[in-house]
Amino acid sequence: MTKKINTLNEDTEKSHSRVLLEDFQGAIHKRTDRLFVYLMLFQWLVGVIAAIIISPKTWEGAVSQTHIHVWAAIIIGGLITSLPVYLCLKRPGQVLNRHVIAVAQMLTSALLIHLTGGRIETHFHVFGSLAFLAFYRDWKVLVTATLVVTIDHFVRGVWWPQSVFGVLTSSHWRWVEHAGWVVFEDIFLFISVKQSLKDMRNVSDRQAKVENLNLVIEKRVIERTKELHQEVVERKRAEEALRDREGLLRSTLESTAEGILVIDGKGNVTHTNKKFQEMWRIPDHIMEMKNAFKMREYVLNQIKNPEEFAKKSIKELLTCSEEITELIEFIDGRIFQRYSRPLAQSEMEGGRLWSYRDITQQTKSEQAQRELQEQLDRALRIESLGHLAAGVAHDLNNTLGPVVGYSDMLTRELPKDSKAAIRAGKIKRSAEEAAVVIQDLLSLARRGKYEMHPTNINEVIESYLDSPAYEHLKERNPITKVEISLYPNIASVLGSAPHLSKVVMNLITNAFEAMPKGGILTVVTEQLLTEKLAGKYQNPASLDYTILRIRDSGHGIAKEDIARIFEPYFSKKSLGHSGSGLGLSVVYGIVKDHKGLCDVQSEIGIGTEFILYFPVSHVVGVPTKGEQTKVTGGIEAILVVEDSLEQRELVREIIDSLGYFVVTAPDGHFAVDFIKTQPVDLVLLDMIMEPGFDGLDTYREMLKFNPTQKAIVVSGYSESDRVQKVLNLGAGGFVKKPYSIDTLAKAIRSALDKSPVLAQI
Amino acid sequence: MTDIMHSENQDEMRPYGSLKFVVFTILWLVAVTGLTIGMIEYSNSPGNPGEPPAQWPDVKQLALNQSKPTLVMFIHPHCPCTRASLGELEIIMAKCSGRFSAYVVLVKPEGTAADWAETGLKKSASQIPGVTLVVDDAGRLAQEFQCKTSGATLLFGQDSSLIFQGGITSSQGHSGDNAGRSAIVDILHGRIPEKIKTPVFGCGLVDSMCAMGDVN
Repeated sequence: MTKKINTLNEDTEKSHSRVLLEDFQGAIHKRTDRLFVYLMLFQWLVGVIAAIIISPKTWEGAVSQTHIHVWAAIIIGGLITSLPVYLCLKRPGQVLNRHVIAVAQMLTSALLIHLTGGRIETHFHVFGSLAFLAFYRDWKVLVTATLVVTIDHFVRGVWWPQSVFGVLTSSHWRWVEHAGWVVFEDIFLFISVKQSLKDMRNVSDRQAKVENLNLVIEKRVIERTKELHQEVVERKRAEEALRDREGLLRSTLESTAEGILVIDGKGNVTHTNKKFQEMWRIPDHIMEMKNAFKMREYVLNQIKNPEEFAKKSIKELLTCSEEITELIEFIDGRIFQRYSRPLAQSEMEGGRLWSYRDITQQTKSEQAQRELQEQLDRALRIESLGHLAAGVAHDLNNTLGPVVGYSDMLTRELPKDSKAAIRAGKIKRSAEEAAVVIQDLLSLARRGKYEMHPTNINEVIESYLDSPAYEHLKERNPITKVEISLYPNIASVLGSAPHLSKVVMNLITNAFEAMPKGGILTVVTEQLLTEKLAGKYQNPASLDYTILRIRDSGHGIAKEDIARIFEPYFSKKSLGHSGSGLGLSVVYGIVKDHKGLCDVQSEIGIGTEFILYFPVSHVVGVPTKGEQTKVTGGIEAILVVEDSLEQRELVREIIDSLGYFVVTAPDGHFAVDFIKTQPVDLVLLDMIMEPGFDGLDTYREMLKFNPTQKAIVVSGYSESDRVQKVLNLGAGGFVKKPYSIDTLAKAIRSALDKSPVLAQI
Repeated sequence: MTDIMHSENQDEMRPYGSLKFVVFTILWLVAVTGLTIGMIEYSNSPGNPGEPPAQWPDVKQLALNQSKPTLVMFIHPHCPCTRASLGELEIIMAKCSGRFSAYVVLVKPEGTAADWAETGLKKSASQIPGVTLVVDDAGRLAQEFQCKTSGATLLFGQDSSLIFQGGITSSQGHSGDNAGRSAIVDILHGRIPEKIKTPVFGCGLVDSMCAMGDVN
């Protein structure tokens, strides 16, 4: 292939060389044509001048006229000159031109020789002309000129020798001598022309080669230029694409919610985004320094633990090759999540990238969510406990009902100081304590029904301090010193004395248990305008509060536990050692039900103080202490609707002992049917009965028949929505199981004594 | 325009150009040749040779040398063609120095100014060694010797006999080898010349005396 190309190139070169040679020759021919135009015009002029000088006139004696040589010089010389000059001007370079010139030049020689009287010197014009003609570098021109000379001498030598040789007769070969001299010069001129042509050919070859090489080079240059142009275009495109990508990257970098910082191995900041500056609140002049150490110096005072942060930063930059994620806490509460990793780019070896995300809100949200979840879990636990408590209460209350009732009856029936009466009394108290536990469960489940009255908290405390339970507690902790400081004339709170008593009991019990090795228990009541709560446990409303403080000098509660101490079954105490694990939860529930606030302050090794805030009641209430009512009975007809046989029998005996006429029904349907045939004054209605027809359903049916039917609702549960609906329908009261005879008697009498109300079904 | 280009293209294709130029060239050649022949023919037309006397005439201005031949050349002081004759005379003088006496007679027609003969030719003639210049006032000597054309040369022997007559150029004003010169030189060297009478090329020495004509 290369050989073929070379061959082609050689052919092209040869062809091109020929063209160049022809061009050269053409140029020479044209140039020489122009030269001869001037030369011939000059010769003509010289001829005329010579004629005028040499032979201006011809004479006859004293008479003269213009010499014929003058006319010959003008006319013949002009004629000789005219055609070649015309041809050279009209179409320079043509072959005919130079041959005409050759002829004309030889004729001019003849003319001049003649005009100069055949001077030998003038003959040199012939040889000079041949030399001039050799300028054409065309040997054929010399041949033409030589032929003209030869023919002239031959013809004249043969037929007119006197005109050329000056003799009337001469040798027929004398023309050969003249022609020979011309040929002699021609030989040199031929050699010169040949050599000149050879040189020209060589020059043409070289020029063809050079031009061919130039063409090849130019072609290559053009191709390379195209390639370069293409490369430039592609490079520009690539640069534009790179700029676009860089722009996109920069835009992305600026658009991200994270602060980005890139530092090379020398501590120079190579990249940051606006978010980074905003997050770290770094002023522009420091950013412009691009110095990581200056930046770090500036931000250190914002961080909670600057020394550790500074050490970590340097270590990460200089030595760490791992990805690191950690949190940075700020003095002002902000929290950043910091992620860093070494740069992968080799040119920035040792560099590192940090990205910072402000997770303050996220952390707070997560904390709130966590708390919410905990509250939900707690609520669910409490709800679950409530369900459990409800079931247990119902069953246990039904079980305890006869125990309480019959022991109560025994206490009443037996001699007061008899052992049997005392034992029956203990049975009753035990049963009542068991009922209290159930009540705790119900309180926790918030299913208890509070009878709110203006209550003096001091009296509640004193009542508890006088109670056997406190005495028993004191006996178990004899070395604990108890200090009581009650605010005189303290304002009443709207509350339930038993529940408040429960609160006092639970807190004092807790205090004693917190001081197993003794200590000081302080119970204080205060009357203050509310200020900001010290423990910030909850925000108080803007109300006046009656404050109860119960403080111990025990082991204290760890800070992390304080928030959870009111949760059910959260206890650091060993199981079984103390109460049900519901103590503080019950306290919390009761306080909340009283629209109060709980606060606690504790310090490990110093002690714990519970501070309860109860809104002051401005309602004038009945005294809570010393209220004793006599058990009263009646003669009205009472229908007891109770699905539990034991309970039904107990109630029947109690009511019967109170003098009333008692009938019983095992379920609601029976009871409804019964009153349709036999009206009764009051229905003692158990709330929880067979599924689908409970106390509320029964009472509704009864009211359809007798809209003024009086009733009391009884339930092992605390007051529920359905109980409330029964009460709303017109029931005269609610008695919670287990109940004492007094409680029941009071409720029956109260209900019977109420005026009949037309129920709104 | 198209035709011109077409014509030029045709010229380019033909090395000698169009036929038109070739024809022009041939016509040109014929014309030049014809005129040149005419001119040469004119130049080779001799003047009136006259009828010189066979013996040295009795004239006062010129004296026949008794010991060697005497050459007398009659020239027109203004004849351009005669310069060649003087050149030939100079050659003869050079080749045959001391073998003869030479007179150059400058013929001054009657009625011409006194300095009419004071020309370049006279000066040239005076510079030829051994030549005696004689001004022929009113052309009397020319008349005595019966010479009518400038350049006419007569050679008389010691015995006053005419041994050569004619011109010593091959044509008008044309220097170079010629029969007249050769004959004189041969005579002076004692050789037998090819010719003793040659044509004379030059202007008429006197009015209506210098008519051209063949000496033969």
